[in-house]
Amino acid sequence: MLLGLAWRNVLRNRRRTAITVSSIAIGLAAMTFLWGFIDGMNRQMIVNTTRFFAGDVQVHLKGYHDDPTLDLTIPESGAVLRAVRGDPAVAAASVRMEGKALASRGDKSRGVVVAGVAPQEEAKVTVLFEAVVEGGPLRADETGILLGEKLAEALGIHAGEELVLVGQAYDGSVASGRYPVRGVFRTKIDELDGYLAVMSLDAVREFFAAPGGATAIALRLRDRSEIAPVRARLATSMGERYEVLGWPTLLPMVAVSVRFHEVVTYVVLLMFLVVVAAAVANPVLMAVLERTREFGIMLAVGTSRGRLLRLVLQEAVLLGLAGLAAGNALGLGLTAYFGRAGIDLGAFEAGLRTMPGLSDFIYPVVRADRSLILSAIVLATACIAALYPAVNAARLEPVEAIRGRARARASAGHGAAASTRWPVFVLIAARNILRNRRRTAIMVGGAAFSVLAFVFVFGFFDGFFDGMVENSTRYLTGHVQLERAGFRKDLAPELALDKPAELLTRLRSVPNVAAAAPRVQAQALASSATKSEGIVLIGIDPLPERSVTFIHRTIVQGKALDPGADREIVIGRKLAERLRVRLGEKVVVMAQAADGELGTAAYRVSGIFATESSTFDSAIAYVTLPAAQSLLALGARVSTVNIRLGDRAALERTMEDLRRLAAAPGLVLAPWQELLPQLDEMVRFNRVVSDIILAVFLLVVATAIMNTVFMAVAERTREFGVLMALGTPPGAIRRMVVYETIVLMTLASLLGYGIGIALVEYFGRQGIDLSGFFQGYAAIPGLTGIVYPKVLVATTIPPGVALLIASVLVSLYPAAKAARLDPVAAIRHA
Amino acid sequence: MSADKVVVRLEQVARVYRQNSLAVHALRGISLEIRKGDFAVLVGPSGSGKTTLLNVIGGLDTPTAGRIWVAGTETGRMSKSKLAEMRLRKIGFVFQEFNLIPVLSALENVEFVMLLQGIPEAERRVRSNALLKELGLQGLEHRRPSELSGGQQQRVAVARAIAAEPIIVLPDEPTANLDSKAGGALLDLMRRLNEQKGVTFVFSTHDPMVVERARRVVRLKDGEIEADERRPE
Ligand SMILES: Nc1ncnc2c1ncn2[C@@H]1O[C@H](COP(=O)(O)OP(=O)(O)OP(=O)(O)O)[C@@H](O)[C@H]1O
Ligand SMILES: [Mg+2]
Repeated sequence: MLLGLAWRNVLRNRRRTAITVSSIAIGLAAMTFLWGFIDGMNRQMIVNTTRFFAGDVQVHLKGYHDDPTLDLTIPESGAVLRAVRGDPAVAAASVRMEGKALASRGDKSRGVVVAGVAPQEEAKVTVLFEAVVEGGPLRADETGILLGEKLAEALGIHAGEELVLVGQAYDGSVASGRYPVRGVFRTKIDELDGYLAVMSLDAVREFFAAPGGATAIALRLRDRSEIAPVRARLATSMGERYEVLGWPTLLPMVAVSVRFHEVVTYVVLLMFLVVVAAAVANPVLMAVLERTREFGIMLAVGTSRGRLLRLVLQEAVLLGLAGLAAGNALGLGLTAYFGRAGIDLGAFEAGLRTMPGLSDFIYPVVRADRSLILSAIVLATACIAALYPAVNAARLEPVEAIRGRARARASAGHGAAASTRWPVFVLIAARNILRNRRRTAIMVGGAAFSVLAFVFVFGFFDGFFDGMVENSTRYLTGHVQLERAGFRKDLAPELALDKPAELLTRLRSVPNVAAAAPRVQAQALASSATKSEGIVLIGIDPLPERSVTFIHRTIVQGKALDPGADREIVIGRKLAERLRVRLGEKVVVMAQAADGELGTAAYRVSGIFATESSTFDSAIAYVTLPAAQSLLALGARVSTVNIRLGDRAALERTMEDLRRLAAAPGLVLAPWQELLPQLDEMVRFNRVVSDIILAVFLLVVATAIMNTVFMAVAERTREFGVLMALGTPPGAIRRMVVYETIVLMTLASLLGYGIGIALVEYFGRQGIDLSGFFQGYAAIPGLTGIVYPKVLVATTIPPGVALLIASVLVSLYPAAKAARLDPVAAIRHA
Repeated sequence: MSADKVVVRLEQVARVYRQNSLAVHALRGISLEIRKGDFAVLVGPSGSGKTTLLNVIGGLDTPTAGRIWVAGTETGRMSKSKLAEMRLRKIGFVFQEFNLIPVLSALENVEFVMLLQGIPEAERRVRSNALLKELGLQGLEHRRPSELSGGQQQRVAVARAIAAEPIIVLPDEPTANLDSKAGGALLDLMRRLNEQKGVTFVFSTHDPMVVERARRVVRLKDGEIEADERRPE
């Protein structure tokens, strides 16, 4: 009986039902889509990066991952291969032989990692061959070589041409050979595109004189979430001699950026969930609130309170289930559709190059467990939102409920004066807002919360990227680098800047230039008594450098370079480990000087630095500017001038000024976006992602507002009927509804911005510590794990304005509906 | 009687409501003339079409057939906003219940129509206050509808209906929710307005007391006029 009544109530008020169901459905659909989108993005990042070359798991001799030398070659790989193939979770395994070599063509050469693979086996584990963009993939029976696109570019080589490899063989002898380039691959992952050369396994074994040897066995698992158990199983079955590493260890940068992405997007998702909950709760709350009178009558005729509550709950469940069905259908449908078709991020921003491992297309993922969680949350929200006002109504005395609780007492006395100056419809709108305080509170609260969430999410994003850009440019590059055209490609010492003193004075006079420091940079070979490593040698002028970068603050042992310390060198911790040198010991640096001669100098290690980046720590060494100038025979010339700006936001304008001042043929100014392209791509990529989130956000909030306005209009149908009977023109009624929305939304915006900005400011000072989520991950330079949200007017104001405009626009529809009401029907409306 | 004294004229007016596939004939071929100064009641059993007829006269509802003239202008084919304008200038409605704009005070409710008509504030104030006083509502000017009794609300509604000096006032069962004393007082008031100011009234009622005091009684049955009698005073 009760259920039948609930049904009939749901069917009776079609509009209310439609509003409630659509709110639930749209909220759920948006959330489903967004979660699927984010999951798809994260999954793709992992799949793409691991499937190109790393595989899911690799097996090496212990210690190989930290120090990949031929000394750690597995002499007989057959037994190991049998062991790993025996594991039921392993789908495929590929034996590899890897080593370092120097690749040359003409006068150009590059250090490369040569990897030998058995093409047929390899194709079962990775998809590198599918990334070939020029020439063809590798065949087992030939001596051809595949190069990464950036490597091929640097060597100026194309498919069909030949290159020379020189290296050190397993037995210590010099290895060399001449190989034709079969093809060029593009993975968009710098570590592969810039350094990897792939040949057949036999050719590499022959090159390194290690017949039957292998340095790694790469595995693909049937299910990649099985990494931990597979590792444990193989580690015990293979024993102490071997290390079994999962992709997060093999690709720490990918692991941390995936992790980071998960954390950041979950923060956003959580905010979004609350907004959706508010969007679902609002109309349900209002729909029940509207019926206080009806409940009073039911109580008056003897319905028990429990029964009334059960009725409301049953109605909410019916509406909720309808909403869930529609929302899941819409959300899963959309997600599945885009999961197949893909979302082309490139369409949102021209020239967007994606992050490592991400192609321009994102394929959202449908997951049953997520849909279940979301459905449960949404249904629970709807039920609570319905029960709250029902409990209140049931607690009323029936008479009170019948008369309606929305009685304005307080403001009654001051009515007279107001109607004179204000247009009467503004007055009515304003009074309506005051009359039904609870409705006003619900509407304003809901919209204000959305604005607040906007402000916070964007403050979070902005703060995060701002901090990351700021930190990253502090490591090395500064905000702008002045150099000779082409210098960055090879760090060729002869491409130096003349008369640096004069240049510096001029640059420093530009407004918004906070500091400028001269530098010398070159590729060099650093050797200790036992080992040699290729490095980038950087000569710095210690004092000015301190106001451009914080190199001096990364010192963990010894001290930073001081002016005049021309016989000292500061090296990274990883590099110190590889060279096996300690503080106070000597390092010999060799480099090709500007005059073409080989420059050599010995320095004493006076400091060791550590950053969050292993690339920095293993490849960079600092000496003083004069020391580097004399090593490279530069005289007074420098390689670059690095500039730090007072206000990074004014980069464009300052670049103009700088260009005018430093205008000389062959000189170029590179902004940080060019110096740190990966960072720039990451920022821009996330901007696109946040725009997508914003769009979905706006859609949900706008429909919620429209539904709420609809509710507010429906509740006052009779009043509109009377207004019409009195001869009120339809336009005036439309305006009244819109005025009300404007007043409510202005209040909501003020409230939302106020609280949002206060929150962002608070957390901007305190910082939001996410580092707990990054424990056990290697770090990206500039990523500290502590986010300081920041209010940037350019990004926080537009969403609020858009929301305000959107809400006024969406209120036009219910307003038009109100104006088009049939007055007779409206007056008859119960 | 000359034609210029005809305030409202109906010619073969019909109103059919469609409910699903069923047609409800609320009015069937009503022809009627309301003259200036009429004090007429529509009576008839429930469902006979009284409310529908008032709505059609006042331009709140449109007939499905027939023609209507209000003050010599045909209203049958007017647009919605033209009809609204017509109601504003020429018609005064009083409904059985829920009559007033809840957020406006009694005084503001009375002023509302004049305000829409663009009557200057000072004049509005004077006229509304005089009317409220005349209707025995002095002291209640600044109360909201929810703070007035049913009879008081109804009197405010009458004040609002006549404040803008419409050519005809159309109360729909104005006394139905009032006790006989309040109902009688309201009727006295309307009668006085009719006699002293010449305001034309057509109202529907079930109340025998109202019928007794009317000067013209139109009997409806099943959407048709059964009888139309004038009673000399
Ligand atoms: N919107 C509508 N839809 C369908 N039928 C309607 C509608 N409005 C009125 N009716 C029907 O038209 C007929 C006349 O209704 P009306 O309201 O004019 O009667 P009434 O004489 O005012 O009755 P009462 O004395 O009960 O107020 C009735 O049969 C009614 O059911
Ligand atoms: Mg009626």
